[in-house]
Amino acid sequence: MATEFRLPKLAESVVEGEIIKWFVPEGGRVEKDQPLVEVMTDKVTVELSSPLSGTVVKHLHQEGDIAQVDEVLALIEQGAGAAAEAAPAASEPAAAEAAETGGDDTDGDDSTNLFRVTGDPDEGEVVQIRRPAQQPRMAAAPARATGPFGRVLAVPAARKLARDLGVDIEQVHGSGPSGRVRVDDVTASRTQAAPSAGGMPQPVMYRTPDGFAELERRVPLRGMRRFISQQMIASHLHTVRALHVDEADVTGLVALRKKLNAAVPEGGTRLSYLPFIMKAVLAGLRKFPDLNTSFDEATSEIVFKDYWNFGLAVATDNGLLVPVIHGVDRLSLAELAEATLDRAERARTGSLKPGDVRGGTFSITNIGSVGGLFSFPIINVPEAAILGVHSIRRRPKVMPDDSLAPRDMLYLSLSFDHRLVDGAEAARFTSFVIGLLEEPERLMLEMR
Amino acid sequence: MTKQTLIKTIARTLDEEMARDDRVVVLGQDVGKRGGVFLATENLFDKYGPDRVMDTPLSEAAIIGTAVGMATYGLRPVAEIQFADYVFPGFDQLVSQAAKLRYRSGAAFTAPMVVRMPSGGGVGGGHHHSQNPETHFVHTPGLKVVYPSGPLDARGLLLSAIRDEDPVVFMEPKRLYRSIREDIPDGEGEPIPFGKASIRARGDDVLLVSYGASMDETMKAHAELVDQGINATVIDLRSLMPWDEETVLNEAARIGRVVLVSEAVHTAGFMAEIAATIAEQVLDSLLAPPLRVSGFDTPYPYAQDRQYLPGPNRILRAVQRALDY
Repeated sequence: MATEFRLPKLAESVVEGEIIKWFVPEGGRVEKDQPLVEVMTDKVTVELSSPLSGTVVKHLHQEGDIAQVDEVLALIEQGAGAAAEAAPAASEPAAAEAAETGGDDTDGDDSTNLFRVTGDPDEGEVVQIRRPAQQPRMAAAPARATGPFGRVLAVPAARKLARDLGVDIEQVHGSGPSGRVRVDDVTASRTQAAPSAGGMPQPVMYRTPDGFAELERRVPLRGMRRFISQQMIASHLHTVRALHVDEADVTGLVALRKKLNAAVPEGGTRLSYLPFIMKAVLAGLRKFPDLNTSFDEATSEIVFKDYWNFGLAVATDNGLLVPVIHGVDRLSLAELAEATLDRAERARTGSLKPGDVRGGTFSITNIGSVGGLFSFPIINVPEAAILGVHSIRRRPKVMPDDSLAPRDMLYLSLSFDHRLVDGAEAARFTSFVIGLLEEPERLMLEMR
Repeated sequence: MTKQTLIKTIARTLDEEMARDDRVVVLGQDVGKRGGVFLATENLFDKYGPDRVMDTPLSEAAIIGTAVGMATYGLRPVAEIQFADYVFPGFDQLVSQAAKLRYRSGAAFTAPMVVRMPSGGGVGGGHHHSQNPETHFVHTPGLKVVYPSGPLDARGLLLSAIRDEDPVVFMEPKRLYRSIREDIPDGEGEPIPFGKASIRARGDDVLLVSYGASMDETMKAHAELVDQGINATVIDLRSLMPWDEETVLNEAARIGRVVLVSEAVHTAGFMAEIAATIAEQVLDSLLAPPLRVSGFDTPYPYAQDRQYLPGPNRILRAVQRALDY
């Protein structure tokens, strides 16, 4: 009997994954713990290994498919014999069976029987019933599962219950396979705040202009690009994005960094500006905790976080990744410099682990390395804000004594969710961070 | 109390009914001196003689047609069709004459007769010795159809069939003729009314419905489910026309998950009727679609009895699907 190989819940909040590559083809032999399939979930790629040795009977999802957590990905026939299921009876001598049954017959003259019992149907290893798995519940914005003709998938008894309770089954999150609504889901939906319907606008449909088909190429939205797209849409649709831009005179910081790096021994990690900026932002978040929050739509609660994990936007050949440095408050400048290099390196080589992209509370995107004056960063939902850091350029500045001086100037753009953070607060936060960057020695006061 | 096989119980019941009522006669190929190929009429010829135990030519139309005539004129014939697969030459006599006599004659005549037919696969019999043709007869108004799964039920249903005023198709799971023994009480048997199912096990997780030879496999699946901590209610329909809608619908509505097991051909098999009735009557109580575990839409294969017949594993897989839905 084939064993079902299911997509495990790889981390909290992971509900689906894309099949990137099957390492073992249908009919292929697989050993226990041998990599079986590569799955991309929410920006990380993991190899899943076979739980047993045997033959891969069937792939239930093809490369490029999106599989839900707990869905069956493949059927694996345990043991050496691939053909075991194909011909279970072939090896059983029917004659022996018949003799056994005949011997059992004490009531009649067996010799008068034209036919003999040939054996029991489908002999073999007994199917083991898997208890219905507790399906993971999505916290917010569930994808509505619909069947043909756009009807919500629901077991009949759930429809009946929803009618009786006056519950709109369209609004109930289904925990069954393919998001099918079950009786328990209807019951549970009554105790939850009804999510706002808020009609989603129709996506823009693209049509190739007449005569241009030859001049266009179409590439399926797959893998990383698809995850980025989904995350961006979620950010665009489910935050109220506002931008605050300011500039910092970091001439003093440039000098300090130069001085510190001069002392770094040969082969040591040289400091970039990011560790300083992270420490300044950390101090700002401690002072303005509204920026280190998330909005739990399911419960209509603002979640304040007394931990500080910073996402760092990293451009890679495959697209944008946001690895997370955990516990920024517990790391020194040098450790932050090393962590930054480590995350960027692993993002570029595709060796991030699921934990490396989770748990962020605030993000920083360093656009300066690419260029531009300033930008409007996209909030990395469910975080409340993201700080854009731009290139440091020497520009003339009017000094307090009205003289002009060449100074190292840095634009900062804070993009924030206006539901969680007021404009004035965003401005005060940015001013506070700028103050620390302009007088980096004051960061000493923030050290713990 | 005697532990008896299905075949012995049938022979014994026929004997008792012939002794009780001299209108009861037996006819069929080799039922006389030979005692039937399966020995269902063993010793009856010696005991009741050629006037009541009649060997017939190899002609099912003649066997059933003769039985119709006998019944019309006041006898209680019990005709044996050697294998259910052979009934088709007699099909016209059964569906056009026996089934319709009461209606054609405005109830002036009836055909109180029984057509016994060993049915089902699992005996290496191939295309012509393994079929389950019950649906043909269920689909013919005027016929009653029963398909017991063991000695006790066979005894009670055969008594009811012989004493019924209308034609009864009595199907016997020949694979189980000698494999199941049950305690048969001494003395006169108790008729089992038609249309009354038997609840063989009670549980709340899933409802298994079956009849005839498939009951044995269904009970094996049930035992396995019990081992695995799944509690099934198991219904043995016993009688297909009429069938026990009340019991099935009550249990289907109560449990919400239904697996229907029959080794007959899948399409338009009798379980399709059960599934449709459940959907029509108690849809709002269902937690999963009624699922059928059946034979296949092919002639019964010669060499693949075990692959063709629904066994415990196929039943367990359907249970899994019902639980997961």
